[in-house]
Amino acid sequence: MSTLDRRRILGPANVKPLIFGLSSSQSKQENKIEEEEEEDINSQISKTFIKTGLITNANGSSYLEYNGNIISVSIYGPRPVRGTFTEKTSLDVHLDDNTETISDLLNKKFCNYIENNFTTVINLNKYPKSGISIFINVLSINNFQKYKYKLLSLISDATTIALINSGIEIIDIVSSTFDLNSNTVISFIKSNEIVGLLSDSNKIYKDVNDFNKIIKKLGNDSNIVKNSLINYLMSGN
Amino acid sequence: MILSVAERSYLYESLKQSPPIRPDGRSVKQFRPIQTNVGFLESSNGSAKITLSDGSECIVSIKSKVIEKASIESGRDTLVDVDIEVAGQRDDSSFILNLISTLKSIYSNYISQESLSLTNRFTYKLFIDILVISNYSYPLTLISFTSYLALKNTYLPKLTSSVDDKEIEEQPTFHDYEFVKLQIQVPIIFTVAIIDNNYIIDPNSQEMEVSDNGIIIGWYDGNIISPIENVKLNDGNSKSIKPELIIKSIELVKSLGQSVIESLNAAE
Repeated sequence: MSTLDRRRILGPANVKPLIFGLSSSQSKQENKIEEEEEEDINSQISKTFIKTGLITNANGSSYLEYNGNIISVSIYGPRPVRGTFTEKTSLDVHLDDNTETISDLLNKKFCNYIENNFTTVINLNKYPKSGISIFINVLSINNFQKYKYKLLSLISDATTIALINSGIEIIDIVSSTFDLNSNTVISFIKSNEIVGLLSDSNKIYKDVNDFNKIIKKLGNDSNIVKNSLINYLMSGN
Repeated sequence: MILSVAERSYLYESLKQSPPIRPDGRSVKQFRPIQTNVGFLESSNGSAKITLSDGSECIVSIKSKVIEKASIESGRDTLVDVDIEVAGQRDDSSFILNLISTLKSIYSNYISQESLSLTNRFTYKLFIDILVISNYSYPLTLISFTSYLALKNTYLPKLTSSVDDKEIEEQPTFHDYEFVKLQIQVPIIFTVAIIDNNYIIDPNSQEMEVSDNGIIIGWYDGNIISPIENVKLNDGNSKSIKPELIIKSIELVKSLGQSVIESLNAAE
């Protein structure tokens, strides 16, 4: 039977309904709400979902969802490596992007950031002649162009939780925070020491104090993030 | 560079002092001496070479191509393209890709479209090809200084046809042998190594090996710009950085930038 509508009420079979984009004032309003939310770390935490140990094959794993971003991290190791004796563990990070939005250059940049963060934090001397692999799976991304480093801070938090889940010795919980205005992500340990710093925007810092303010603000936020991560871990979920 | 436990501890302890005692006797804000050559590659629009005192050597060549502005606006093309080759490193290694992504983002943000613009429809595109022949320390500062010199000494063919080609479709034509010097402001990148409570600029390979962490900081026209990032300067003994040290390093770079630019300009 033909599915064509002979009365021509519906139009040709491959017709698509017209959809009008958001009006500029509407999208501005939405942007504003999003940006305000970016400032409010407590509301972000209440919207975050974390689960650990979902991947049974891995030594440790975590799953994190926030505002349309979905990340899963699995840790394999410490496992023995072949070849000559090494004093310390080697750490390698792989990022797999299922949504195909992250370019190769950024993918490497993200991996490098995570690797730098965690080589500082993991007690590498504890595991000689072995290797730890961190596999990051990005399952869904929300507004990558604007919030790419937000995604990186979420990846870093998910990696911390996964490492704790795997039982690998780390010196402290790494908590990462993101500043939209300056497109900066900073990872903190021990209340306000920095293990990771990445700032990439076309902002010009005429006054060095401006950057100081960003560090202070992100430092305060990171303490809140850290507390909630500890709360999650203590609640035994 | 592989250091013994004793060497490592000796170096670390001396760099920890206040003021730090650097193995080559430099002060905190002193660079290693550099030797420069410019404009030696005949077939490229601009070229420069810097040799460091430790034997590190970097060559940069600038080439140009005329492209349509429309292709940049639509995102099919970029105004600047950067390619890096470092001896002993694979092209697809994360080390190289990170250097490329840092340089691409800094040059595409700060090399202005107007300086490369030809007519209403056409513009120059710059290809920055970087070759690090030998390097013993983190090469980003060396690369950015060499690129600075090369870009500042770039000569592009002089346009002889009309600038206004909005109405009439016309291919730009150029003078047979006259060139125009490219007038642009170029950003540079500094590397600072953190050791305990000290920060030192332009670390050499031994200082890198014992450093706790490293920071790269961009400088442009008297101000601090992105990238502001921490980098791994050695394998495995990195430590966390105190925020005050980051701020102090940024202040140091801000105060040094102008004098570095002046001495690079004098090298032309």
